[in-house]
Amino acid sequence: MGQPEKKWIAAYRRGDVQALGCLVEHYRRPLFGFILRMTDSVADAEDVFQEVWFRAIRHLDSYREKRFLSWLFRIARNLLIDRLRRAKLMVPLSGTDQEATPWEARLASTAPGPDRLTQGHDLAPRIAAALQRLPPAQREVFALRMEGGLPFKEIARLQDTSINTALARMHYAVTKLRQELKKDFEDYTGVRR
Amino acid sequence: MNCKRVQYQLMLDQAGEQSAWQHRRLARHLAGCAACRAWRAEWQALALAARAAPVPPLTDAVRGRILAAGRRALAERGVAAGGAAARSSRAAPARWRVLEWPLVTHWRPALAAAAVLLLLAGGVRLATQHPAAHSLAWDDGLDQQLEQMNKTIAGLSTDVLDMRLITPDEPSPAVNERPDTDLEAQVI
Repeated sequence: MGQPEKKWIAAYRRGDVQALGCLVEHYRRPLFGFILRMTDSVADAEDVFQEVWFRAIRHLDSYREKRFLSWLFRIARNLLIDRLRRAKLMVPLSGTDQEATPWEARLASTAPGPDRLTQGHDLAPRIAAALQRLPPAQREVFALRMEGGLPFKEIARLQDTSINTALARMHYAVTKLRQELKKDFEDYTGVRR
Repeated sequence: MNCKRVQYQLMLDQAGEQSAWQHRRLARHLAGCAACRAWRAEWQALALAARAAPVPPLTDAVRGRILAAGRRALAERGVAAGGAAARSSRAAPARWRVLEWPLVTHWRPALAAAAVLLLLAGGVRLATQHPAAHSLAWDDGLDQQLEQMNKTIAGLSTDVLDMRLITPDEPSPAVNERPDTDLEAQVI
């Protein structure tokens, strides 16, 4: 954990609520970005995001992990699993990598279809849309690495799996995204396959 | 080297989880493998694009609810929420929180100073007014008055006092008669 985060946490514990605001803003991009990738809408992501902070605030005294962000991701992940269970979607976050997204999850997904993918020229929203069609376990590794910037070692620990499994999930995700976004990649990298 | 394995290691390398030695080994493989070079280029493009994806800002409502929860949690722990100016008074450990009633908290130094001043002033007053204070004490005063009365009585003649035994046949002179004014004048 960096110095500013330590100071903000200490200041908040002493009663400075503005320090909590700084902490929330500091981790907004990685945490909210990750949750956004794992939920269907911005409204859902906001619900989960604020619940993560509610829990973090409640249990701040018991926080002992080395990295504050990893702790926040752990809370977020537990909340997302609870949410999926409550919604009875039965989407296994730790399922096999080869399996297809369950049909219930597809029905629930609000990700744009192929027709909408052809619109626009920006690669980022196309990647975001393509990610929504990945199995949750692969999507989670991708989001934790790309949005959260977590090393694979920590991703493996969060998913309670081996580093090789985490790497394999990422590899599958990248391979699928490559297939879906083949033309975009060729334009972007200038490499024709 | 197996290309799939190399691609795993390229991901680790990009995350900074490979040693310098492993990095050089990867570079040697990439120099002779077009497929892995293409894979790396796409991986990097994907990483850049994913990170460039905008993340919407937090709404004021979400931020407000989080900060409100923060204030509630502080209140439950007995820590007063506020800005940096109020921090020093909030650092007290739990066992002292009973003393953090606002008036006591903010006026604690002034109250302590006032108490010390009162004690000092009282001490000085007692020290300077010692004889008077001594004479005002009820037992000391009584002793003095008794002593003076004894001296006065001792100086009076038995005639004046008329110390006769009253027999049961005689009426008591002191009950219904006017007291002797001379005696009164000498005693008082």
